[in-house]
Amino acid sequence: MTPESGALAFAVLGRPLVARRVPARLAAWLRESWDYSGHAAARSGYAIELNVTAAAPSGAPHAWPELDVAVPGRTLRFRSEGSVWETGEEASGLRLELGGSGARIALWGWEAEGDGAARYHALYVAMSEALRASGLVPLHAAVAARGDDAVAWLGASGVGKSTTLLHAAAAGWRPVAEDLCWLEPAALAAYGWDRGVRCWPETLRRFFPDLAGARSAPDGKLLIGYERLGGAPSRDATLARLALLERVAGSPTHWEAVAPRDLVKALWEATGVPLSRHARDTTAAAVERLSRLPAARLVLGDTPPRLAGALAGEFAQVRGG
Amino acid sequence: MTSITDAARFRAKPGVVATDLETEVVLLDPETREMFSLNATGRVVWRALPGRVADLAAEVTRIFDVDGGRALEDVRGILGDLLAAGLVVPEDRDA
Repeated sequence: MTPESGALAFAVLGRPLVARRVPARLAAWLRESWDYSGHAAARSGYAIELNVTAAAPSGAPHAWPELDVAVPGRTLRFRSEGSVWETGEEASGLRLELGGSGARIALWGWEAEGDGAARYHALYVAMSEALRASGLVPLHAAVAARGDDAVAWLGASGVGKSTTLLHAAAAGWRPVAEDLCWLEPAALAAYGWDRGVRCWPETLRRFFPDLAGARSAPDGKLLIGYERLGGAPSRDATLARLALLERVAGSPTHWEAVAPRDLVKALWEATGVPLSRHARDTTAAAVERLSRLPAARLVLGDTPPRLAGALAGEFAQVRGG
Repeated sequence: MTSITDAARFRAKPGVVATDLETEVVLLDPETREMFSLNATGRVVWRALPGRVADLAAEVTRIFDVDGGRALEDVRGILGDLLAAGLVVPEDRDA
């Protein structure tokens, strides 16, 4: 693979990213994963710098205290001291340095033999930590908006977030995110962070036959581009309500009240736990803020959820506002 | 095994994130990613840390209508659960 000359530069939700000496495949991954130019996020002075080198930086890898970071399908081992994290070995690895005004990511031996997927996972963690350090919080949720009302549907992988989003879109809601959005906690502004809705073929045949012909995703699901779901192209929204999804087969779909502790736990599962103490405090404040929104539990049974009417009556403030 | 005597002192494990729900509290250990919820009595104990077992029990009797013996029993049970979950540490260790 031939390294690109020059630097790759774009803004990630208003945070300038400059990546130097980036191989073409890595550049494509950065664009696909982090370049969502359609969002109306305010400009930020927090800069992210990414440098690719052949050799490890001086002193790396360090014998620092280790910590494991779970990512989908695997666990990555990081070492940390202060506001610096490393992963990998002398031949290939990553270092993340978080500062008050920016983050620096060093990659070395990026194209060496070995577990390439682990390197991309590690870089995803590093980029996420950089955004967290800049004040943003990730929220694993499906999000849909109607007028000024936006609902985040929280739940574990496979519980039915995508299908609920498709039902919401069919009922006139504007899809914002299928599985992930980045949140500006102060304003509760959510920015959709995916390229389409992934759905099992059987679900599409059963509930959404009009959407047949969607592209296949690598995991066997079908990918439906947001442009096929109608509505405005904007995928920004201000969160107003939270719905916890739970699947119970053999019962009709219905709404229930949600206990505050269940709401808080679901929010921590949706935001994840950051590496840095500063970002942890930011996330804790975001969880606190979000947990004061009106919330409800949507128990998904054997019937489609009714999302066409006003949903205000289904939600209740489970904590003081 | 840590002994939970009246004179023993405990404190929250550093880094544990607490979300106070006014009548209960949800604790998150960032190292293990595990969450733990405490009821109203547990919340009073958590908020009173660091402290001696006897002082924590006194705080429970101040807030709730329970006698000292019952409060001590509750505090020992709560601290035992928190110790098992790794969410509190004795103050004489790792101080």
